[in-house]
Amino acid sequence: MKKDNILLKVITGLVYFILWVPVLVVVIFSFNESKLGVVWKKFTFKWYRTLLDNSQLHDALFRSLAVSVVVVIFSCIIGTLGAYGFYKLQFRFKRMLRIAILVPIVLPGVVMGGSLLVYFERIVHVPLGYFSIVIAQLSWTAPLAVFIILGRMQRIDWAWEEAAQDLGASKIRTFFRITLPLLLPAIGASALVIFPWSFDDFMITYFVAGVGNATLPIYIFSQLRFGATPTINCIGTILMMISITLLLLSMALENKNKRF
Amino acid sequence: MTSIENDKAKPVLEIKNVTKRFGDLLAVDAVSIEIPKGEIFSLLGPSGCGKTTLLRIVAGFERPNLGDIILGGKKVNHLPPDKRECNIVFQQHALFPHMTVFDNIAFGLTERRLPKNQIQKLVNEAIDFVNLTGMGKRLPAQLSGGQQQRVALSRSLVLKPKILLLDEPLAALDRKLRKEMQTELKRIQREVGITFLNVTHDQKEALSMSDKIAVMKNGAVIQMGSPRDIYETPKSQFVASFIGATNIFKGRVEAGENDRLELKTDSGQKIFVPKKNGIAQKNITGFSIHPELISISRDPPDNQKLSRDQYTVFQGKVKETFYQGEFSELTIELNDSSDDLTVHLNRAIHYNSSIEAGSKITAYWDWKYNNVLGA
Repeated sequence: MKKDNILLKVITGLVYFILWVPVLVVVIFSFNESKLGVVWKKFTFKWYRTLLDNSQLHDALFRSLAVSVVVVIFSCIIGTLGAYGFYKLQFRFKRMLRIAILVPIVLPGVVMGGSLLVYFERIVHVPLGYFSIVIAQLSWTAPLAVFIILGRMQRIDWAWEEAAQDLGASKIRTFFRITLPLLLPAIGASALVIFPWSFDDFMITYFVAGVGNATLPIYIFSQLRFGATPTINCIGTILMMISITLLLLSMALENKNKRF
Repeated sequence: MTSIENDKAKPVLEIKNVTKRFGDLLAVDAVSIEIPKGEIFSLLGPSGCGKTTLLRIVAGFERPNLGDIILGGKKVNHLPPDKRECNIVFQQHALFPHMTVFDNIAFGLTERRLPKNQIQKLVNEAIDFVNLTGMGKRLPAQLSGGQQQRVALSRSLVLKPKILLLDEPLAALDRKLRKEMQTELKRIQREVGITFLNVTHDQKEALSMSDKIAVMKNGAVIQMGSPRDIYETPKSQFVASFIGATNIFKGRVEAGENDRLELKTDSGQKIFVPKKNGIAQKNITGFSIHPELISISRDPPDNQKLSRDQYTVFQGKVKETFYQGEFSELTIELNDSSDDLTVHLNRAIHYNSSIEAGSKITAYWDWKYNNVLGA
């Protein structure tokens, strides 16, 4: 029994070691004086300072933020309305539609990216750039929001809506006073899931970005081709901090969710 | 003067020939009910009998295929729930979980766009009325079941509806609390003078709370009357068995005098039954007798004492005894009948006598207690 426990601890430790060491290395070496990643020289903020002067990086960052914010907002709106429709309405081909919106989530990014590129270039003739990136990302983030919010709807007691109507609220007032507030935790959770996914999506975005519209992940990738610099480590560290913060936030929201 | 009298005479709610189908299922079958002002009316029936559907039709959540709902003299068939002057108290209370007690109760008033200070005043009064003083800032999750029930009630009452609809309001509460809430509901009803339409599957609750009961089966009302009528003179086997642990003997009437009929049971005994319930002789299918009306004797029957002209008498053997506290229940295996007889023994009368299974026993009761049943 005790032996098993030790073995279990060793394996668990190993898993965490393998998972976290690369991450830790990135964090540690973002503070390394040496230009070559492998040798520790001296603690410095120098690379973080270079971030401040890199205008290309700033452009990419703002482009990414602009994409992600818009994607998150539209995903949440489409997700809420879509989930509400799926849950409340009866219509033909409902099951089929539900499976159909799952497809963009499960398809490999390469396939999605490639087909979207063909779609924009050859079929609808949308110039590649900001607009096409947003649409491409929405094609899988919106369904994701639908499923997250739908999950919450299945746990809502719909007598609440009837009670509100019975007490004199019209259907629209009921939605804004009862349904929406009760869905808010789920909407918040889907925003928190979608934001980082959208922010660091590389595959699909790369296909439809066109020239000169690099988002942050694409910029980082292009820099890597000239060899990894400690600057990349800095970006990685910052993004990681943001991701962990969002994760903790979403967990807190999920706890609040459970109260009802 | 006359208008007031007219108002009194007019029922608050009229359900006229209402029929509702869900596909092939006939959920409500041509139901007509009138409920006068200030009455507690209960729809009683097993689950799936259509009572909740009928309530939802009155509230406006379902539309009847046929018939009319007339509320306060006005036809409301076409009105959505938010435009009807009736409010419902849901089985699971359906309190808004993200709103405080105060906001829950204020919900309907804010929808009516009353001025803020007036809402404040009305809600505080309502909170005091249901004994929740000081709990206005709590969330529903922080309340006990009974307190949630009170909030649900006062949330509806504060709107002064013409009729309050109760959908199994006590089902979610434990037994002790249920008794308490029953008393509370009666007090509220008395003090506010509001009309209640109560839906329940609990015959005890219906009997103790209601002024009038309609028993429903398969979407139709099969008997309507005061709790006393329903309990003491059920007119069909269904009502008799649903209303309580009742002994039912099936049989046919063979002969009849003025107010005394002779009924032959399926096992062959001839038993006198009184002529009542307005059931035609040829439609009588048997009779019922409540367990608490039956007396027992351990001695062999004295034919003088227990004459057939006065009593219905059965001989048998005690099969099982169940101690219930306030009474004891005996199951008696009858000599001349395939049916078992259930008897409730009052503790005051049979306090000292313990009756063991297997002992021979005579059961008898005044034949006038026999209650004839139709189909």
